[in-house]
Amino acid sequence: MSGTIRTANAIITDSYALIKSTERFFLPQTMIVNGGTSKFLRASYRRFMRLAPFVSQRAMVRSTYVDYIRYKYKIEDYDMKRRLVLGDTALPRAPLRQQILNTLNFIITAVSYTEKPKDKVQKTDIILARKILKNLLTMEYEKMKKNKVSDGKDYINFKLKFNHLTPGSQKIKPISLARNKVIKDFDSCIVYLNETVGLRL
Amino acid sequence: MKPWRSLLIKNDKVNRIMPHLPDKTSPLFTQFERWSGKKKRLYITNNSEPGTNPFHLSQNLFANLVASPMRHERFSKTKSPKLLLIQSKIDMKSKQLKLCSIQSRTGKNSYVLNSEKVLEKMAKSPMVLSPLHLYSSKITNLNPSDIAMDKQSFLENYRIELINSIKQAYKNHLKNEAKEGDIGVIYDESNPKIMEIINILKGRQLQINLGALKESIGEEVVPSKHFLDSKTDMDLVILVYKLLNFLKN
Repeated sequence: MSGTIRTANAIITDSYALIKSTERFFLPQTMIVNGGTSKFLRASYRRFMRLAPFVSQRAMVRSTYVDYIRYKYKIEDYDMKRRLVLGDTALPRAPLRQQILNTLNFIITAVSYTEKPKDKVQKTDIILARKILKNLLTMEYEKMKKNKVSDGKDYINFKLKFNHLTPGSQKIKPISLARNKVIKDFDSCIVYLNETVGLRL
Repeated sequence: MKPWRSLLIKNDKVNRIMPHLPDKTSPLFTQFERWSGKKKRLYITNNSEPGTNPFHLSQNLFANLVASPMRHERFSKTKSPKLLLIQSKIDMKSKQLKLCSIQSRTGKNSYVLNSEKVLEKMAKSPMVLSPLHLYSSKITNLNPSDIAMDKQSFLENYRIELINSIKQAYKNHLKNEAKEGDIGVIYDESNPKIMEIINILKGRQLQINLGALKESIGEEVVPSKHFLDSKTDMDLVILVYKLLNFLKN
């Protein structure tokens, strides 16, 4: 037997609590068109953070997501990562504002639920976006899993200098060679995905 | 359909009552979503949305690769999407271990990374490639020495099998007209880039160059420049990507 409880802000079904008011998760049109760069960045950052409760119920996954967003905004040298994967002669990057908008839409797609999808594309987009987000966060966790044991070297290798994406350095242990290869495959796939869809994951 | 069958399946006189409670609304249910303990989702009704562009992720090679379920990789002990890995399978009847080009859920599987160079270095016995739980299980009763593996040529065999399944898939699909979202495949030995994103009239397109790996693949696999449809040929594109990733580093 199934029951649905309706409140002012939400519909609670067997398996989900569906939040009805979605306005505060989208960027307002005025901000997209003529907000200053720093204003736009801060507004989009706030919206990414607001989506954290939707990503997972587990505090561990949620904190991985929050750390990931913070890292993307404050620390990551994305141009360097992109150059290492695509090569020096790659096409110019899409404008930053468009990329951030697309990424916000991507995360919203990943955490959304719709009773009657418009078409098959919307249905598969929701499923795949959610899987991609989950795998991305799992991989972020895997990268940092042994960071404490390695005295913070994993953070430097995988997140600051991207040593796993650069060729060469044959003197490392076979296990870290394998680990570098696995993470490299994943990261380059994410960069190619960003390029083809216009995201900034 | 036979008449008695339709009687059994669809009888208008029988009212089927599905157990369903009526929707409940009450002023006492304020902010129930906060302590209901359910997974939260944004409720999208397509009428009210500030329309977002569809991503068409199912037609994207990389989205398909990255969205595949996570599996444990044997050497690095990290998790990775399974389409980025190679499945190694033990046939329990013949006690043979081999690497599979097309992954399936049957049998006893484990996953290893997709690189010829690293596997050459690290995969020196069947023990390191096979699923570990088999050896501790009392039901299978398996010894590491029972497993047979062709140590010299198992990587070679895998490559041949992969190329064969690509050829097999090519027999079914081949077309030469470019469309938006299609994936271009070329054979250009002078171009060292394996994968590239290029500008075409309608936008951006992924181009795969098999000629960059000329010593490992014969030209007979891919005759000339052509396009693969990202809607229907996704399995073939994934196979081609696997081959490139296996050989390139």
